Amino acid sequence: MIQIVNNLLNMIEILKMAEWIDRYNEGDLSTIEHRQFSEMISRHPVLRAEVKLDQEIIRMIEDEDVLELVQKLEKIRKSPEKSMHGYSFLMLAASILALTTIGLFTLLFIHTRDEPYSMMARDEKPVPARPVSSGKTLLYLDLSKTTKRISPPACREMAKNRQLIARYQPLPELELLIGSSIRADAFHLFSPKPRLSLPGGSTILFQWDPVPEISNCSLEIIDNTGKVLSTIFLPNGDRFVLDTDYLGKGLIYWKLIMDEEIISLGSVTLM
Amino acid sequence: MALNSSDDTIIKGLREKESSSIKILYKEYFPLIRSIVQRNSGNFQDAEDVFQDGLIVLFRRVQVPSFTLQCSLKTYFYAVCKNIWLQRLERKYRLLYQADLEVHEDMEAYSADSNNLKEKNLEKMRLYQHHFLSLPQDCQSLLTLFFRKIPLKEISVILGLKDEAYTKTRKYLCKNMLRRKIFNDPNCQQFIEYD
Amino acid sequence: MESKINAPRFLVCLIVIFQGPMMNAQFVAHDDSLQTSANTDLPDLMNRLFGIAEGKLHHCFFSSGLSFYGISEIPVIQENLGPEEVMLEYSLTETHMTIFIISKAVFSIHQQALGPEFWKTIAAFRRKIRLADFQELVSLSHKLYLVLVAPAKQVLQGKKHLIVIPGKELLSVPFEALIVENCMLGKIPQFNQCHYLILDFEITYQFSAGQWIEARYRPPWSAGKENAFPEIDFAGFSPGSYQNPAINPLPFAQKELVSIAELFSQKGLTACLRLEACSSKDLFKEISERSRIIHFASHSHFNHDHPEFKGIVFWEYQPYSGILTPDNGILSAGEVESLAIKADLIVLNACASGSVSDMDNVRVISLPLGFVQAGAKNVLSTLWNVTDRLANEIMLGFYRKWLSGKTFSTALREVKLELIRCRETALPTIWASYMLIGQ
Repeated sequence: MIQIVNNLLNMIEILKMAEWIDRYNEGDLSTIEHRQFSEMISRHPVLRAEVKLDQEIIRMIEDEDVLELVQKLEKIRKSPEKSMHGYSFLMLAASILALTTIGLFTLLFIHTRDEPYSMMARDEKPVPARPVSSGKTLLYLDLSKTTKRISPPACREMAKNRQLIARYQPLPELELLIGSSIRADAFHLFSPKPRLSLPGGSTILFQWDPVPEISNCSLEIIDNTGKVLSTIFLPNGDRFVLDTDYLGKGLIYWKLIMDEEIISLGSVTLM
Repeated sequence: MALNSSDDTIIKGLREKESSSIKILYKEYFPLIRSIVQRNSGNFQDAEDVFQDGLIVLFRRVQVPSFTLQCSLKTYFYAVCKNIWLQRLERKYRLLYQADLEVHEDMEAYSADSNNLKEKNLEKMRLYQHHFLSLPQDCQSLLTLFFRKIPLKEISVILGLKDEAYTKTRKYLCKNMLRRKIFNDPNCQQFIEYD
Repeated sequence: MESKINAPRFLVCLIVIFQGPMMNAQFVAHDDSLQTSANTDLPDLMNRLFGIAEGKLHHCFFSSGLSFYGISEIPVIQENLGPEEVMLEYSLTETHMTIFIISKAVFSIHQQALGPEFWKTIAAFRRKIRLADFQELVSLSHKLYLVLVAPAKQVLQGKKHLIVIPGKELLSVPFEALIVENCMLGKIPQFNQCHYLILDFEITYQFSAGQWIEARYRPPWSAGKENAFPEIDFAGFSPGSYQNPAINPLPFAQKELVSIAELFSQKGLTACLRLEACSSKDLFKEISERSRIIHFASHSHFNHDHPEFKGIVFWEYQPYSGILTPDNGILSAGEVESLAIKADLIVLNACASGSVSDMDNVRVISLPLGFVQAGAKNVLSTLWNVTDRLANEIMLGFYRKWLSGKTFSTALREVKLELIRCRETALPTIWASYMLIGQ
């Protein structure tokens, strides 16, 4: 499923493959099926990785003792008693610091999609900090109260790279809709290409076969979390130029909508 | 070296996964672990992770009937966690750290000698477990029962689900939910290898 | 025929013994706005609720402009329902909704007042699902579930098959995509983790209870020699090509038909494909009466000024010729109604082929309705635009399952469930467009 789904022509077969992996790991295959599947595994590294991941998951779930131990530890960590042992002031101060920093980031960075580290002083250290959210936008905050320590320069670079990478993560739900023609005789869009990579701030030309009149036609720009960034109503004619200056860098999707139906969907990577 | 009675009590409690023993370990040993981790480029969350991994290592060790300590439990646990943290730093940053450590007692008492103690596996399992425990409770129950080799029909009765086919679908959805969580976690990417 | 009382807990109930064709059946009527006791003048109350005076009940069934059977058909419906089937029939006015909930043993009516908020929710849900708009889609879907399906929850317990008769206003609502439990886990919805109604039920649709009954009594495909015209098990039509400039090419449409035909021939069944220039309306009419499955992999044509010419595109289609007649290469609903079709299944694998137009609130224009009235037992159509590639793959999956012995509705449901399992295809925009009308 990791990269196999990119092979769109075999989508249904791929879903079947996930079932095969399950049955293989659960020992549910006949002798012939097992031999065939083992052969496939030996030939395909991605499939091999999938099978291995599945096995590890099974091993992890089967180790119920450890899971129980971890659950109990979690409960203890979260218990209110803990805060009575002197951590409360530290946590409160850390929370206030975190909230202030989140607020600053939100105001300065998320709205403009600018580089988040530009505002940080050079000797600040987001070292090796953990993401506070596992969503698409990752914010790295150093919640530790301890003061200076020497951090490896590699850590900063890695954290910075991870944040950049997050903005270019594709949105799986929309990927399959990109570029395929639709089965309606609506107008024929011949520019832009379904997937483009352009420098940030470029313009994109939308061009279509002339029609006598286009009605209720709009262009929606969406970021890679599914959030609609803007909706532009298209004028009559056969072209429209979109200026991407206000969009910042990252992966965006565009949707051409006519009469409340998607006519075309594509993506642009702004670098 | 004989265990003192409180170490013995803790070990016995840990074998049975008693919350009281885990609590004592956390209260008394965590500040020390936190200190070593934070003095060596880690943060609070790293310390929590290392503590958890160390606890699992200790738990597995004490299951062996012939387990004996050559030093105090605190020293042993400290050594386990220190080792885990150093291995993690080494793996992630390809740098060798000479940690400026407070030496309590005989540090040689501990050695990493088995796959269980391999730091990479520990981190991987911890992440997978974290995602598993974040699944909805019914999914956790269903998957746990399934991997105990209980037939789907029985599982549907135990969990009050519609029928076997529905249970199969739910199992599939739950497992996929877990796989998606793991796959979408950037921290797990390093463990997914294509060889 | 005896029916049990079915009453949601939270409403004051009015129990009426209906003397007539229903024998000992009992209605339970609920209305949020009515606070009444059993001593109220019953005839007046029933008149106010839904005009149950002689023959008047039929009126509420006819309000949507489609032909319905009246309440005297309830025992016939119940007789024909399987033990695991439930029929939900909706009748809507601007301010009220009535749901007729019918199972083998139970018949009950749920009525509630509707405000402008309901219509806004319907419109917003339709818009968001067809436009793949994530924001609020989950909450809207769940809200609609609570209004449209949750009232029948008690009757639905233990059932597996839902027959939905949506009425004109709800014909474009995909009930399978209604969400039973709100599944927002953070900012981005996890569409592959949502509890859709399709997880619990196989869902089919019909235009009216009467048509559902009629379809049940139609002889099966190989019932006897006098019905055995069939020479073709699968007839496929696809005009989309690079050779006709008037028609946007559909690279996957022909591939779809060829692959399906191969599946049929592997099973020893006959398949006949009409592609490109052979995909003309005349040739379609020639073989339509003797085909068991008729499959269109083509474009849809829409004309907002003349919705009666909406339909499936054939080879002779000329979009800008200014000619607006049925001869313009478009198979419209009106034209279909006049055909004699005995097919088990019609597949309209084109964009929004199942969409409905309203002719002055009197007549409904719908291609699937045309095929049903022409005699087709089942029609598989789409509610909104579908991409060429996905349309191909979904249909291949559907036929594979059907040819392995499953029913049409089971095959379609399993394909959808497979799509839901995978995050890349779990978005309802991708799988919920397909709607099976019939059995």
